[in-house]
Parts: sequence; structure tokens; C-alpha cells
Amino acid sequence: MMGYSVSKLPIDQLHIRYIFREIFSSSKIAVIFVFCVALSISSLSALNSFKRDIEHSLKREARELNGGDVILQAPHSLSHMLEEPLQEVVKGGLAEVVRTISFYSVIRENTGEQPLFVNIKAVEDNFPLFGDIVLESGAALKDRLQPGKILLSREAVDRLEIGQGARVVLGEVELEVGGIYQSDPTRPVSFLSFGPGVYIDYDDAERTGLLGKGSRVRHEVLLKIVGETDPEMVTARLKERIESDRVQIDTAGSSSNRISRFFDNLLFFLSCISILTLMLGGAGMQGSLSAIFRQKEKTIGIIKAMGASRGFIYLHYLFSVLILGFFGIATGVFGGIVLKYYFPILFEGLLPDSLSYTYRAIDFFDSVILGIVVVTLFSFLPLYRLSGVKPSVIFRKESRSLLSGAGSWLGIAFGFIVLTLLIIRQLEELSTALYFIGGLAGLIILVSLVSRLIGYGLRKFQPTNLLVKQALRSIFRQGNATNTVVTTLACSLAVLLMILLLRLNLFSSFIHSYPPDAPNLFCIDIQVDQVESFQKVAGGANLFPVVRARLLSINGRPVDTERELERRSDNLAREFNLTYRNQLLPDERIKEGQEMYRLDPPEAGIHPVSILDYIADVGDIKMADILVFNIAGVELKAQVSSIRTRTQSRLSPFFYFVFEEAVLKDAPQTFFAALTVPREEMTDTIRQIVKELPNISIINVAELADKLGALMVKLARIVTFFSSFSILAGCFIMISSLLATKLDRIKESVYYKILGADSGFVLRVLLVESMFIALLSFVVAFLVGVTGAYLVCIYIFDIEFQIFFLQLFIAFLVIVSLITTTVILSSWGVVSQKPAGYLRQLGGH
Amino acid sequence: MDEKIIDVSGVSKRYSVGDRQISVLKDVSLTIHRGEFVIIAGASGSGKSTLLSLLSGLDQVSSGDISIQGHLLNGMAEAKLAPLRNQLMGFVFQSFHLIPSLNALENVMFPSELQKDPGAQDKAEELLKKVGLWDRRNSMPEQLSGGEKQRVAICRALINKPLVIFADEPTGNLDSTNSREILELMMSLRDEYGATMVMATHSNEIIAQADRVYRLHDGVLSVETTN
Repeated sequence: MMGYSVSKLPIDQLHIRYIFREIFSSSKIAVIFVFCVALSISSLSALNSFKRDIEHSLKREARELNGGDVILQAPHSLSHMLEEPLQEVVKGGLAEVVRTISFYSVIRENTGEQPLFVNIKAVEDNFPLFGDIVLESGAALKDRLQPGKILLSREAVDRLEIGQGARVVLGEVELEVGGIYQSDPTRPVSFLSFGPGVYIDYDDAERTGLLGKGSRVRHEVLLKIVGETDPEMVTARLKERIESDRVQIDTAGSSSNRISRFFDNLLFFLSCISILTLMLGGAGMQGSLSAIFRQKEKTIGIIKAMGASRGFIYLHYLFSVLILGFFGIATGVFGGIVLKYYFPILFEGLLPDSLSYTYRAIDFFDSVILGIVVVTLFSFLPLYRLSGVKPSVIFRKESRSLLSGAGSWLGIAFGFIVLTLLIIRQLEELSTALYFIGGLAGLIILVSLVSRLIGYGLRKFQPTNLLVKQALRSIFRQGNATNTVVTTLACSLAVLLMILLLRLNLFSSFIHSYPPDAPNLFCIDIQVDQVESFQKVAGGANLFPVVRARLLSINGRPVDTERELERRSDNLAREFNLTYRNQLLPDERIKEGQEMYRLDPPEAGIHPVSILDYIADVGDIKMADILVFNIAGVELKAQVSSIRTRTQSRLSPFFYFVFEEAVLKDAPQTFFAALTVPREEMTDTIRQIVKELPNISIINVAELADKLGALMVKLARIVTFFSSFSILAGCFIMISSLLATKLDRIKESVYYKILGADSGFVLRVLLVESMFIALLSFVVAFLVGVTGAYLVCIYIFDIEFQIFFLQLFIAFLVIVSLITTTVILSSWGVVSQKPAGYLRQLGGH
Repeated sequence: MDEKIIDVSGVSKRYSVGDRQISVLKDVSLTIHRGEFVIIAGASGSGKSTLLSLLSGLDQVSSGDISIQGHLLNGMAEAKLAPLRNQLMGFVFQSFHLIPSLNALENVMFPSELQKDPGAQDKAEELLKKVGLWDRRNSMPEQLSGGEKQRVAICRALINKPLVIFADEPTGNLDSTNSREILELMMSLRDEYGATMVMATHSNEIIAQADRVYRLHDGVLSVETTN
């Protein structure tokens, strides 16, 4: 018996012409595939590159941002405990030192009525050690910032409507405006601060009378290392000498700041959305590639009939995918660069002016590797399924033999593992990544199930109207990836609708309709001996005692400061405000436990503490757990006697840890007041409090809410921008599905016309079909998005939920227009097909 | 002439359509010898194309045995079937089935290129000259008429000098003049290349020229004539 063989290693048989001709013969869908690859990697690669810019910038400017190479911070004056070790460092020629004091208070022009809440920094002569505070006049800082002078930021000047030389009152002193500064390296962005920044001389700080005991002040000692001395060594030496746990010592490199935390959180969230885009883009790649291969079925059957081996087929289509993948990755990398350089416009007002944008080699390689992984991941199944095409397909009118064997399932499992690793690598947190994957998988499964359910109902629907009937038939025709299209569009729409509804509900609850009975003025740091005076000014405000403490351990397990500080939510390592009272607040109820302070059995030296359910979740604290607090150096041992929850969401004071009055009554404490002041009386009330009790910090919550609102609008715009990429992925899948079924559609269109219909009828069928797709996607997205937003509002934000029908209707119109336009544009050849031309072509075959 | 090329024994083919089983071929047996011109005749839908696809290993039988030059096709792995088809068989279809992305010359060369034959282009050019399509060698399939397409398909079927040519209604999509020309061409090339030809058709003109005619009726095969 003769042996017949075709080369086992078909690499040398590459039929380059065939590969290119095959690509060009499906050029439109091939372009969609290229765009899907580009779409899936561009936003992530832009974000990753941008993230590196932020990290580099924050690292490069860490010393300017933090003020020194080594930073010592404490809520009290550091001089007494630092004098000796600092003198050693300075005399040893190791470092230069500068001291600063930061606090919030209110300033006003001496003749004016308008108070302004500002962020004050009192600094010594040689501040700043790094960078420059640039004055508008061009003068040097030390010439303008002297005792009796105050430097204002441009925002402060504009809001007070004053100029250089004016006199302002701060606490108990009157200061002259010595200058206006335009940039401050320690405060590169303004949106993270409660108020605009001002500078005063270090020696004036004490004279303001605002640094009294209990004031919320941050003292800093900043060190500039001289020569090649290692900052870590200096830090270690200082740490040895200072034992207080209230003094924090960091190097510029290790110090965490609000800007890096803000961007860390924002970019993390945007990464999550970009991963969704990546997956939907991946679905688009898979869909378009399947559509290409479906078109090639007959050709594959023919070349198999001529004796081409499975290896030959795989190799040639693999090369086709590689070529398309190459163009997709190149487009994605380019798109990522373009996108990144659009970020300064998109993030306007949120970025430090000093941020520089660089495209590094690592950005390029990172994007290319991401592209290769994505192309491999989402091309595997369509390629694998090629082996399901039998040569006998050439005898059949229609054939689809999808391979669903073990190989498919192995491929899916492998893909899932790679995707999981990719997400873990992107989000840099295992548990968060796993939650995210679970949530995303849940979203896709839920959306797919709901769309299938509604689709099933539509299939059963028997309309009498010819247009509707034809449109429904067309939607569910063989080869039409309707379910994939609807699932993709609905997933991205659900996320967009959820974001829209969350933003609208947050605005509604906290900004637009700020509850009239909600407190709008918070007064902090009221001293025990000021309570009476405060009550006279504020008119019988409800005061809450505040005892500052740190949590040392839970059930004997020390709180891990470093780990806690890495949390995105609240953390256990920060200073807490404890309070004491013997009853629940009107908006509280006990969730676990019989009474607030009942321990069973009580134990000597252990005090009952009632904790809020939120902090119980954050710290995984349960009933009867033993907590140890440090209150001004004294340890307090407590046992959880009850867990409370809040019954309504409003801006009213709440405390995580509440003790019996007897336990904390004598502890060092201040008072906190939440006042509800009519808007028209706000200025007067603030001025009066500032005048009578200048050390009290006042936060105008209504003003703060406006500022937060503006920030939220900006963030929502950014998030919506990123989410819109996933809608684009849905449109690409829809176009590839339409192109894949184009021949069938043309045939139908010709038959309609032969039977007497005009192009208008074909167009109307298409319009009705696209409207059905839009409606189906929107209904599914509405159900999922509204449910998601409801759950987040009620159970996470703890606010009332409303459905904003008008905004949703506008969103619906936008989606219908988008989908209809996409369908009509990509199917224009179907509408305009002349019957004679098609029949002639058919006759030729 | 007595050498058995194809041996078919008790072949049946069933398809499942939903819950229904459709029996397309029922217990078919036949033998084809080297150099024979065999016709499978029958009405449309009688199973001619199915039988042809089974004989050529394009599809698998439900039961029974088919062997071609001693190679049992039943259950043969795709990896072994592919080179068999490439080197032993040639195909001509009613709908031509040219590869739309390749031009006439490239279509003809393709089976030979699969064998890494360095003379593929020369052979293809020679064949195209023989069938009078030298001038059209660079035309894409959609630029060719039906008759031209079928001539390209015949060249493609012959390029590897196959043992058997399977032709499924090769003139079914052509007018009478073109049909006659194509048939003459196939017969002359078959003689020149000494190939066995198995053709499915219902054209009486072609049937008259066959060595043997089998007729299919509702999936059952019977020998009608032997010349």
C-alpha cells in the first residue's frame, strides 16, 4: 500500500498570496477585528502609561511635595522631644531643618464681612527646602513673608475680593497681605483641600491663638539631607530617639500623600472600567474573527477537498490572525498614545501643573505584550473551531459545525486563567481582582440570561405587521450574533446607566436638594471651657464630646499599620474620635447585642464599647471582641457590647466607637457641634464664632458640598468617557455581525424587490430591526443597571434612591440613534442592491 | 482496466434533522475499476452528491465500507485523508467552487503547491493553455464566465494527475454550448491523463458516453447499463 503524505511541518508551505487575498476578501470585518484589538488595549495602555507618569512625577517631586527628605509629623509641638536629636543631626552637618505648622481656620478682611475658610501653613524663614513658591510679583518668598504678613493664594484673594496690602484678621491677629502666590510645590492641586492655601510666618502662628490645646493642628519638621547621607539612616536614628507613637517619621520616598492616594484610587477605578472594555473588545475580536471564518467555510471546505491538511488550514489562518493582530496592536499602541495625550484635557483641574508626560519604552512593551495576550486569548476559540469545518460543507447550502468538545472547554478554562492573571496584574491586588472577576462574570452571565429570556419571548411573538415580522426574523437569523451583540451592548450600557444613576442620586441627596434640616456647619475643637461661650453664640447646639485615640489591637492582635494604610476604604491605623453617651442617637438602632453596654459576664478592667456596623465590617470586628485603645498614652481595654447601625443617611454626626459616659468623662477631650444654619445667616454665624472663639475650626458643609459636586461632575465625565469605549466595542460586534450576514440580507433584499417592494421597505425593515436591538439592549441594561444602582445607593451609600426617567429617556434616545445609525451605515449596500446585478452574479455561480 | 479502484460495500448514510432521522443512502454497494467512466444518475435530491462526497472521503458513512485503491476510508483520520485527496483525487463541482481570493492560475496551482511541487506553476500554465484560458490566467473568479470557471476547475482537478476525478453535475450551471465544450474537454483530458471518472449527472447526453451507469432512487442504487 502506497503512503501519501503532505509535509508534516507546513511552515515552509506558507502561501503568502493566499493569506493576503483571504484577508483582503474579508477586509471590512478584518478592519473591525483590528479596531477591536486596538480598542481592547488602548485605554489600558494609556492608563498604565499615565499611571507611570504620575508615579514618576510624585517620586521625582516627592521632596517638593512632602517638603523635605525626611518628614516628622505630629498633632502636637515636636520641639521639646526633638530638640536634642535634631541638634545632633544639624550639628553633625547631616541636614538642614525647617519647621511648619498646618491648620484650618477662617480669615476675613479687617473691614470686610466675608469670612473665608482657609488652609494655613506657618513656616520658618528657610521654607521651602525644595522647590519654589512663586509669587505673582516675582519677589522672593522671604522678602514678602515676615512677621505680621500673610501670603495668599490667587483663589483666596479672588474670593475675598482684596489685594496686596490689605489687612486680614486671623484668630487674634491682624496681618497684612504681603503677596499673592501662583504656585506652591507642597499643594500642587487645590481640589483636595477644604479651602484655599495661605502662608504666615512661623512666629505668628502662636499669636493667632489658634494653637490651643485640642486644636486640630499638624506640626512638621522637615529635613533636607546634606551631601550623600542616606535619608533612611537619618530616619532610623531619629526613630530610635523618639518613642512617641504620635510622631510619624517618613522619608519623602515612603511617605504617602493625599494626591498619590487620590490618583491611586481613581486610576484603579478607571482600570476596572478599561478591563471591562478589554473584555468587550475581546468579545468583538472573537465575534469578528468567527464572522470571517464563517464566510470562509466554503473556501476551507474546497481546499480541504483538494487535500489541504488541518495543519495547513490552522497555519494559514493563524498567520492571518497574526497579521491582523499586528495591525490591531499597532493601532492600539498608537491609540493609547493619542489617548494619553488627551488626558490633560480630560483630567483638567485635577492634575498638578508640574506633571510631565513621557512615553517610555516600558509603556510600549507593556502595550505590545498586553496586545499579544489579548489577541491570543480571544482568537484561540475561533481558530480552534476551524477544525470543525468539514470538506463536505461545499455540498450544503448552510453549515455550521461548532466544535464544543474537550478542546473548546480547555481553551475556555485556559483563557479564563490567563484573563484572571491579567486582571490581578493590572489591579495589583489579589482579593480585589478576584472580587472584580466574580462581579464581572456575574454581570455578563446576568445580562446574557436576561437578554436570552427576553429574546426567547420575542421569538415566540407572532406579529401581524409585515415590517415587524421581517425585522424579528432578521434579528434571529442564523449567523446573526444577536445575543452577543445585545449582551455586549447591555453590559456596557448597564455600567453607564449605573454610573449615571449613582451620580444623579448622590447629587440629589447631598448637593441639589441638601436636606433643609441637615447640619450644614460643623464646628470642631471646641474646648471644654469654651462650651458655654459657644452655646451662647451658636444658640443651643447639640455638642458631642470627642476623645482622640488610636486602636492598638483587636483580640490581642496588634493593628498592622502598614497593611491598614494600603486599604482603599477606611483603615484601623488612623486616629479615631471616640465619644461617650448613655443612649442611642435618633438615627441609630442596635443591630447586634441586647443593650448598648451590656457585657455578659462583665469583667473588671474591661469597658463595654458600642461600635458602628461599618467599622465592624472594615476591621472584621465581632461581638465580644477585645479592643485596646491608646488615649493620650493611656491604654483602655474594651469589649464590644453592641453593634449599631444608622437608620437614615444624612449628614449628621456619627461615631464608630461609643463608650459609657463614666469611662471617658475625664479623658482629655474637645467638643464637636453640627449646626443647622439658614443660608442667609451663615456668614454672620461664622463671623461671630470666629470672633468669639477663634481657635475653633469651622467647616461650611454646604460650601464643601458645592465643591464636591463640581469634583463629582469632573470625575463622572472621566468615568463616562472611559465607559463609552465599551459601547464602541458593542457597536463593533454589531457591525461584524451585520457584515457576516450581509449576503443573506442582500439575497432577501433582492427577493423583496423582485416581489414588488422598494428600497424604502428594505430600509424600514432594517430600521425596525435596529430599534429592536436597541430596545432589547436598553431594557436589559435598564433592569441590570437600575437594580445595581439601587443596591449601591441603599446598601453602600445609604441614601434614598430615585429613578431619573427623563435622563434615562435621553440616554435611550442616544442609544437608539447610535445603534440605528450604525446599522444603516454598515448595511447601506443591502438597501441599495439592484436585483438585476445580484441575479446576474448568481447566474455566474 | 480490471484493477479495482473504488470498492463500496453496504454503505448507508443517515442525517439527523431535529428529532427526525433521514436516510439518504440505503445499503449501497458498487465497484469502480481503473480508467472507467462511471455515471451516478438520479433525480434531484436522490443522494447523488452525498454518494460522491462519501466516495471521495469528503464525508463519512453511517455504516458500510468504502475503500479507494485499498485504503479504507471509514473512520480514517483527517490527517491521512487530506494527502489521499490531494494525490489520488480531483474534484469538479457544479458550482465550480474556485477559491474566490485566488486568480485562475493560482487556483489551478493550489493542489500542486500543497505538495511543494516546484513545477506547480509550469504545470498550471500548461493546463490553462490547453483549455484556452492562458489570457485569463490572472483573472479573479468573479471576472470569469461560468464556462471559464469550470475549465479552471477542471485544470485544478487534473494538475496532480489524480487516479480518480469526481465530478458533481459539472455542466449543471452551464448553457448547452458550454456544457458540450466542457464535456468534450473533460473526456479528452481524462483520456490524456488516464484518470478514472465518477460523475453525478442527470444529463442523457453525458450518460450515453459512460462505461457504466448507476441510478439512485430514494437512496437505493441500481445498475442501469454497462457499455
